Amino acid sequence: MLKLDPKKRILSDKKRIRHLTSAFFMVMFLLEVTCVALLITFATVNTYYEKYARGMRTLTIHKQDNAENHVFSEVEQKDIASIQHLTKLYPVDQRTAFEAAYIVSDDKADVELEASFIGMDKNNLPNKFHFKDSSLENVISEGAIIPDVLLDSQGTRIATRHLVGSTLRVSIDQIDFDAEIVPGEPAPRIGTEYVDLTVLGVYRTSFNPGSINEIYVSFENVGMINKIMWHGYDQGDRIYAIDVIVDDIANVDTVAEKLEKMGYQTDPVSVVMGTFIYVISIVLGLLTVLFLVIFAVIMHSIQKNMMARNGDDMRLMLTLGFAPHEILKESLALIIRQAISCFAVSVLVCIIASALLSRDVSSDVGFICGRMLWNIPLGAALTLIGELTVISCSLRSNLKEFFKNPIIIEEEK
Amino acid sequence: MTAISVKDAYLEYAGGTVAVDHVSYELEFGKMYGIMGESGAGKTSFIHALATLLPLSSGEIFIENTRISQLDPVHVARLRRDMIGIVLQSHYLSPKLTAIENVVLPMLAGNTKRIDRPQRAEELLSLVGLSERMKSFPEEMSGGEQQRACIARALVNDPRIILADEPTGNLDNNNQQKVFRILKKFAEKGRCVVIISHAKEIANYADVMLTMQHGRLKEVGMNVETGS
Repeated sequence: MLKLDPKKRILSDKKRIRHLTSAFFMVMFLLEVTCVALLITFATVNTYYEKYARGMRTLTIHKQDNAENHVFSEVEQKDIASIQHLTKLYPVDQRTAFEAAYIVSDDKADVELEASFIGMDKNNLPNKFHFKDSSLENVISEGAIIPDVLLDSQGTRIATRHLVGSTLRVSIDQIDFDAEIVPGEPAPRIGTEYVDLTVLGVYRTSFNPGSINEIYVSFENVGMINKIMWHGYDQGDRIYAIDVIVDDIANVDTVAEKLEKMGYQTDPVSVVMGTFIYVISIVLGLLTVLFLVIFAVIMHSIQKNMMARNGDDMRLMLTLGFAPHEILKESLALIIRQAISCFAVSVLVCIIASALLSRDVSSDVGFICGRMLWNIPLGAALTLIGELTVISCSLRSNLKEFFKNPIIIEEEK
Repeated sequence: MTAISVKDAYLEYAGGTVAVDHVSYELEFGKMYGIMGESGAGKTSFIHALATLLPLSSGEIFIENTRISQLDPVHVARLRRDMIGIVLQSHYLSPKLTAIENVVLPMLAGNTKRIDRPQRAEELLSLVGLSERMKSFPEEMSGGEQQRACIARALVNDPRIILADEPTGNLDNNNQQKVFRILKKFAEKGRCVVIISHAKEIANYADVMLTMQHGRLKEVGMNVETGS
């Protein structure tokens, strides 16, 4: 029996034209996806910095004169704490501590971590937490909250949700600051102290770019770790500098102005890269629009040429009783197939790259990029929606007149 | 029974040329109509309007009581697919397809089962004497062969109305008679067949002969013009 499927062939173009169209579609798709994925990445980072990154909202305060020797009195601290928009005030030595730590659990050998301990309370929790048998009020004061993915000292990633309830043993080296330090040799120690904390919860690291092994503990526990480390050299109860956390990045300048009026010098703990990110975002946004416009103009022209080449056949099909959408379905099949392929390829690339990067866990870049990589398929999906909308609009405008008069009667005109 | 009812049809092109000038007429099933007239008289425009390929400037065309002007493009296409077989003056075979593929094409828009399509196309190509040319491309066929392939294509969905614009223009006398006989048989089976032709032999087959002059339609020997 004959197998006949003329519909597939009647509107198909020559191979060379198909390849050129494919190449154009691919190039534009890649350019668009790159821009959109970067745009999403920057927007994510920006949101993170503005909403979650506490360092951007934290000001360190010294007295303007005699900054080195000024000791903050309780009255001064109360005055500062009364400023609007502050969510926390604490001595600087309660901000962070960098120590080795061990996860001690029943079912596996001790896991050594290079950890940074961040002072935290319930008003300053930056991310979603997963708790086990613990309330928000006591979670910080009684123990530690760890990331849902930790890197051990060998660079292996450890999923940590099952570690809730385990012990986190902080190993604190007391360095002998009087001893002579030999370059290349570990600093001489007086001894090592241990502090045990219970792992009370984990937090999502997905939207926490750049944070590796950040463990949240109470401000008091950070201060305690630092005091043990600086054994013999700590400043007792005297406070020479304090940090204040502002509730919103938009209020940082107002708070800084008030503090300066009160005679204090303020330094941001981290500098906001906002302007840089905004400029890059605007450039990427403009490029995205530019590529989409170029795509629209060239696609319009490609379709016009396609109709000039296939106009007689399209008119013929219309004359024979094909509805307009049935004719277009065939001519659009190639582009739609290509669009789906592009999306599938971007997802595949993402999966492979993600798998490769996740193996290189010792690298912070790999750890962070692994998360950001998923912006590529997201960008691809958005690009596809944009490009298919452009194609559809262009086609509609090209065909509007075409379908009004399916047959040109030259004889009688 | 009325197949096509034309009511005060008027068709004027953008340049001001009046192709159909207030024509009213009723075409019935079971009859074969022959339309003759000089070039530029409006015959092709009229038949294209009947085929729902050209919208009228004013007036109405009803195909089996369906008012064409009220239908959207998709329903017009459906009606054309289900009701009308068209043979165009220019052959309009797709050069990318073989004769049998060209004949199969309208069935893809219709309801014929996939398995029945090749057989149906072969039957009709044999009927018009092209059984040896099924796999030939249009450029390999003579003008007459192309014209016969177009007739086969017009009949393939078994339409109730057949509109043919100069279907025998490139045929010799024998083939011309053959085509008229085929179309006559369809009329005898209850179809409405309308043929534009310059061949006088059409009069031997047509049940009703019409002439067209300056966009106006007249039955031969009787003026059917009702417009101004």
